[in-house]
Amino acid sequence: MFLRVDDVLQRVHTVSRKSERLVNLTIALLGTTRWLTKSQIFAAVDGYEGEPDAKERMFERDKDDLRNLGIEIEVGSFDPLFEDEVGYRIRPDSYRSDISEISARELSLINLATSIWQGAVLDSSALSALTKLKSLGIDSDLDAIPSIAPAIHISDENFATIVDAIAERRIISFTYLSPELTTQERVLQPYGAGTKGGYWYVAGLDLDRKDIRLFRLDRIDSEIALQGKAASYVIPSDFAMSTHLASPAKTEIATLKVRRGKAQKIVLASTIIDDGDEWVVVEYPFLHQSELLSDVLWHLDDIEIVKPLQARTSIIEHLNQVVAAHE
Amino acid sequence: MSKKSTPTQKAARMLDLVPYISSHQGVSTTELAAQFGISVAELLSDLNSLWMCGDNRFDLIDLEFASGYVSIRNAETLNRVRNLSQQEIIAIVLGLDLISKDLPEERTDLQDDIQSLRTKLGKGIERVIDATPASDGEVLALIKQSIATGRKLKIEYLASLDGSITSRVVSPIDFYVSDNRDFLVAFCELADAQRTFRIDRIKNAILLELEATSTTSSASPDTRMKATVEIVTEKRRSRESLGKFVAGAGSEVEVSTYSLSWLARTVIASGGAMKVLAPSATRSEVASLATKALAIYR
Repeated sequence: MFLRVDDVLQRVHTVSRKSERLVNLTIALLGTTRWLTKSQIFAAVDGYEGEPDAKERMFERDKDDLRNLGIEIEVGSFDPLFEDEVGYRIRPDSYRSDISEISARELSLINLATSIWQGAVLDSSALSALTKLKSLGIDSDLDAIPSIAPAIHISDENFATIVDAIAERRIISFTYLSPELTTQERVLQPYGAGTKGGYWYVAGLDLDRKDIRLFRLDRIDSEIALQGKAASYVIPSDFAMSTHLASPAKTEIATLKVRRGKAQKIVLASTIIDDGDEWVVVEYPFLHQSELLSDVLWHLDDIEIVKPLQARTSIIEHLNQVVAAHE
Repeated sequence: MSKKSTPTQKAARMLDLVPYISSHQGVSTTELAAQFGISVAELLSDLNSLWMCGDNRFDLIDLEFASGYVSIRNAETLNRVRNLSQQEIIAIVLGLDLISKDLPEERTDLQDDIQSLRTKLGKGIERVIDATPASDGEVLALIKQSIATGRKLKIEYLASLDGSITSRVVSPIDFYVSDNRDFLVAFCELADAQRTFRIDRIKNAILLELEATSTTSSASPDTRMKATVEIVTEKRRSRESLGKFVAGAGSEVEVSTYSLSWLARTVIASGGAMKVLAPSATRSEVASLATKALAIYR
């Protein structure tokens, strides 16, 4: 299918589709060492047809579309004294990936990192990233990677919107379920996103509360809407998502009597004080009394709170309350 | 993937096809389509479009693909790998983060690789991303391997009800995801029956050199039971603790559950924030379990 000139002439008549125009525009702006004026672009790139106004509008839209693909079009002037005639070009070094020196083993890690997204919401971004890296002509070295298969399960389209918003630094708004299940409107400059314990989170500056807040995606009760323009805020340089997702240090200690063999999750998180035949006495770190009570209540008569006394009193109250409510 | 791509997405793909084909001359159309996550028909449409592009109308890109194998010539201008988009970087960094927390501790070499990749790719994005996997990736890999090779697996399992740990030999049947959590369906020799295990509760797994007991994955009958629960306070927390199968928007909700004992404990653990209204047998079970728990304080 390598072509002769008459085939070529046959072909050019059909060049009008937008995707081809975008590719040809990219080639023209990328291949030039000088600035190209609009009229030069309209002459060189197929597909700019119709009235001057229509061509202009088409060109403006195309520029926006390329920008959304991450292709930066530079605008410049031929002569600093005359600014009326501007020119356009794409710098090869801003178009081209500057990732060099990726080893075969690193590519295998990326391979694994992208495969995690299979079937999940960033699937297509992950695949296109991998494709680009493979185009650098590196072979992966899969044998170097141990057999692990972490998985991501997020089909929530809101997550893709959040990633776009963070990437473009755009404000988002959504409806959020409060602890009492009322709905609240939230407007946020999203700073970061992540996952922990099977839940997904977004953190950012809550514009009404004027403070950084963390939101769980499954408590967002609406489709997330993007607001305003791109690059409308700056993510503070000291922001780190990991600090927002880190579990706070458990500063309180409870002494518990646990029936041997039971409640192993609690025992494993504790220090054993007395390893008895029927009961094991442990020191269990906790953060809030309400969490301690709920952990211990779950285990019914398999755990007794020895200390703190206040928690011991509260658990008796709670149990009495449960009995009274169910008699 | 089934969604039809927009002209902009198609243009992006055409731009990325050029360097990929250039570095993989003679790649088959099926392999190329799979690499780009599209159907062969869509790939052929992309290639047909790309074939009409070039520096000018007399200097077009030379593409050969009629044979089912693709090669490219005369595409110097586009033969550059495009910069990764921020979305792409986020997807990779999230994935790398999960891997890093799953790697065996002794693989510090790979941890170093991940650290260097995060810096090379991240350009500041890596600090806005943080991911910790919900289940152990090594366990997941063993389960998949056991299903693929038809071998038995020995697991240490933390029971959800009483929190005891038991060692079980199981023949995995299936693996699925529900409500962001991983589950394993397997024939369990200890129970001598088919059981479902939550993978994040599997503390340890070893692949055995024993052939799995062949069991047909009979679709187990839906044995869910219904209960009515009143949510008194702490509405969001209470509702979330009842799991996924909750119907009703008000304070009285209908819960579907496989285990009424699980429901009884959930209600007791709420410490009075919830109340079982029906069935009455579960109501009295809650009362008697709570009375028994009170007895240890007397």
